[in-house]
Amino acid sequence: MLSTYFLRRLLIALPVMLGISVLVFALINLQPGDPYALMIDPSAPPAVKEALLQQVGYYDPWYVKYLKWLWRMAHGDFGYSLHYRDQVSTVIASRIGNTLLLAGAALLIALLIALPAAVFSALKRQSAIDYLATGFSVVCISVPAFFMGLLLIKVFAVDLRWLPVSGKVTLGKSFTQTGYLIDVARHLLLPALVLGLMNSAIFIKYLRTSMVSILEQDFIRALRARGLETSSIIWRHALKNAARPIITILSLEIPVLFSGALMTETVFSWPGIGRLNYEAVLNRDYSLLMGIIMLLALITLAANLIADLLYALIDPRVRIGS
Amino acid sequence: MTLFSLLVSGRYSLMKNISALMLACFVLSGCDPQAETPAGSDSAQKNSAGTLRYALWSSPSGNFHPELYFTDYDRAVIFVTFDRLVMLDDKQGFKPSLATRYDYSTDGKTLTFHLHPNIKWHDGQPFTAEDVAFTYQATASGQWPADTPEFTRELQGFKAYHNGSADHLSGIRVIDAHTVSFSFNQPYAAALSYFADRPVLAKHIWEKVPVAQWNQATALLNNPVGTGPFKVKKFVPDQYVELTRNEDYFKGKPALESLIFKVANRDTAQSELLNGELDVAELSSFNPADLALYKKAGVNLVIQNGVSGQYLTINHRDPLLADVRLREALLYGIDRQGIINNLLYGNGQIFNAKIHPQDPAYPDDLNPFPHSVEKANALLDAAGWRARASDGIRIKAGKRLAFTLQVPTGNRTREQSASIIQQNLKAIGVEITINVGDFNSTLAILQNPKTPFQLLLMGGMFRPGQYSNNYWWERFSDAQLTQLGDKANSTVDNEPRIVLLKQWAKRQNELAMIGWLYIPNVGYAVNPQVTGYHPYPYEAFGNVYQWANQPQ
Repeated sequence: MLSTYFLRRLLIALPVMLGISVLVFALINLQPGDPYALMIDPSAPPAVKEALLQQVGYYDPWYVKYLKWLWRMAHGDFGYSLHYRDQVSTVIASRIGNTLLLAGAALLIALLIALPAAVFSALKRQSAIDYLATGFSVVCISVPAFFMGLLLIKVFAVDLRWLPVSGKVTLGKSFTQTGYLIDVARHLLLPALVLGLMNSAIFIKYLRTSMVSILEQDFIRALRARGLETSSIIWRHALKNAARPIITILSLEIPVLFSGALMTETVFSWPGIGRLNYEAVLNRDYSLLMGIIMLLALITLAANLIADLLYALIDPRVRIGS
Repeated sequence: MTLFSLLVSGRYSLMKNISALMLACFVLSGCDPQAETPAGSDSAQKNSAGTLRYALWSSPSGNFHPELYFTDYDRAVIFVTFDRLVMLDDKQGFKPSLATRYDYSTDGKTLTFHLHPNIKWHDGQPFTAEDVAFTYQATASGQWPADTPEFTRELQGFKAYHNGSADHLSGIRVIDAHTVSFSFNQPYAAALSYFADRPVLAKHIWEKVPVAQWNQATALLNNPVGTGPFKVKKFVPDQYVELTRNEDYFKGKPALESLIFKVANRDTAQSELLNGELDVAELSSFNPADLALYKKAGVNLVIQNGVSGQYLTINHRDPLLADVRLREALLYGIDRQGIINNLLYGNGQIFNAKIHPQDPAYPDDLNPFPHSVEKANALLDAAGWRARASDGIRIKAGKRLAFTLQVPTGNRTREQSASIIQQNLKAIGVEITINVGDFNSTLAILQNPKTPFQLLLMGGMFRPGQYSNNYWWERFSDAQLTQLGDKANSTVDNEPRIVLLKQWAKRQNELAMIGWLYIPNVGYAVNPQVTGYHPYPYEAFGNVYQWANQPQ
């Protein structure tokens, strides 16, 4: 029963992936200009340029290019990055760890801020704490990442000189193993704080609403009636139920964190996927760009597929209902 | 189920394991940064002795090949790891570098270099004339994996070698271990300019790889073996390139132990300089408030004439713009000094020909096209555009005097200058519609002769000794101009050549060929501990081996 459900989901995912590939390919190939514009002396005679474009297969019909690309991708070959002179998969692999690190730290910070803030503001509605938490999340959602980044740099790196401005490691110094980890952590803190603050704002909003509705439910009253301690009711029972939307939001945030740290990674020169994506656009590195977008599509689809499966495991109504 | 609904249907608890993995990853490599951050860690920012960190705005690609690189960021690394036969002096003349001297044959067709006898490659192998011949012969190969340079096409015997009928390029001759000559079909004056821009490769390294595969030889590209003052120690894409000094550098042992090119962000570089994470960064703005901040912090500022000009490309094939009076009116109508004052806070210079204003060949008697609404109006009136619509735009035979201006993104000053130009020209009754596009798309308009356009903003770098005599971007031809340019380019004697170039520039000026706008100055913010730092136009790293960075 579960396996047919899984199969059906998978069968839906495949054409979707194909659809995405057509879209990605079309969007990139419909761009005016060509990827070699920056590689050739711009004032070279048109004939010289034509010859080079012929040589690299630029004039192949679009369907030939598309099928070539698809065929190679099906074999795990995402192509060759013209800018980095390396396999697209190698280039992406070398950055993905940094993005995971940043995303992980940001999630941790977001949860550390959001959990207490949301719980207390749900418990003490209309209180000073509640208004403070709401105000905080409105500010964090509305302030653009690059501005928040520059602000934090101004305060913590320039005025207080506690933390470095950008990059991943301090250059020109040799470190011991622990020293290196501390150095990376110091560089990580500010970008993770920017992403963490922005995400915490979203978490607070959802968690507070859900906490408020859970606290009004009968089973909470029943627990109270049985004489459980308030702290146990809140942290063990209410939060557990209220946290479900957070897990939903988390699932949505994972693809966003992979791709969406673009601004933050750029401001802090953090060498992750977001910055790579940005540079790929600037350099017109078509293969790399298509590789990154396809990877993100794949992650999004996989996240959805797993989410659906997990949900089906937890809640049988989904299997029957669909 | 549609694509959209699938993409947005992440409703449920998903990938707990992935987030766990992320957290684990985080804990493994960083622990809780808040707990680990040393309080008040001033000492962590101190440089180790003799290290200089230089900002680059974008990551080098790792293509550290003197003949195949194509970004300025790779160029920076290449110009400190390799040497050139000649380099530029601070008067835009040429001075020998790998060579001790060079001379032309009496017919001007052959250029001979006498090389320094005691130069070694980074791996200890001797540098000889064979390396020079090998480097430039490769660019003539039929397998050459890039566009063939004009320099190469001018060499004697190019065709035969290029199509494979000769196994040696007859235009390049190794006379002895330290003498090499280049012979051209006709005297080719731009040769020195080419040599000043394209360093010499190590034959013993690159002869092992077929020329066709040079672009794919990533390991060799990332780890260049040069003769220059620094060697690449570590290249981390998107982060930095770390170089250590070449103890045996033939011009003298570099003072810096290491030089690090750090990928930085224009918006945060100022903070990094003030914070001590960078030692040299190009100024991104001449805003007095920014400069005051540097000065207050004791950061040195080095400001010099720029080498890249911004200009308004005019399509001469456009029926309206084919009229020289209209082109002149546009030039008089644009307040170039106003652009420099408003956008560059005065840090720029005006120019009036396709020659750098500090180039010895720049004539001093060009029409400077000063901003003049009266002159512009008179020219447009004379061209028959007298009547005006209610909004002040000129009309002739029911047609408005309106142009589209293509503006490529990527240069803030250029983008901002477009609206100033629009306002300036409105004052003389010319309507400008601004059409912004990304740089490549805009460049593609120029490069495809079939794509129509009227006006287009572009920028480019001058190269001393190189005077491009083609006009396919402007889509026009002028017999006199072409003849003067060709003659100048095939004259290797400096004095007659300068006379010809001046005539050439004057002819461009008469034709109001291009709307030359401005050359922004270039400035660097430099850590006050840095000594010996003397960049000059075209040679940002000319004396890099003399730079030092020692705490005082």
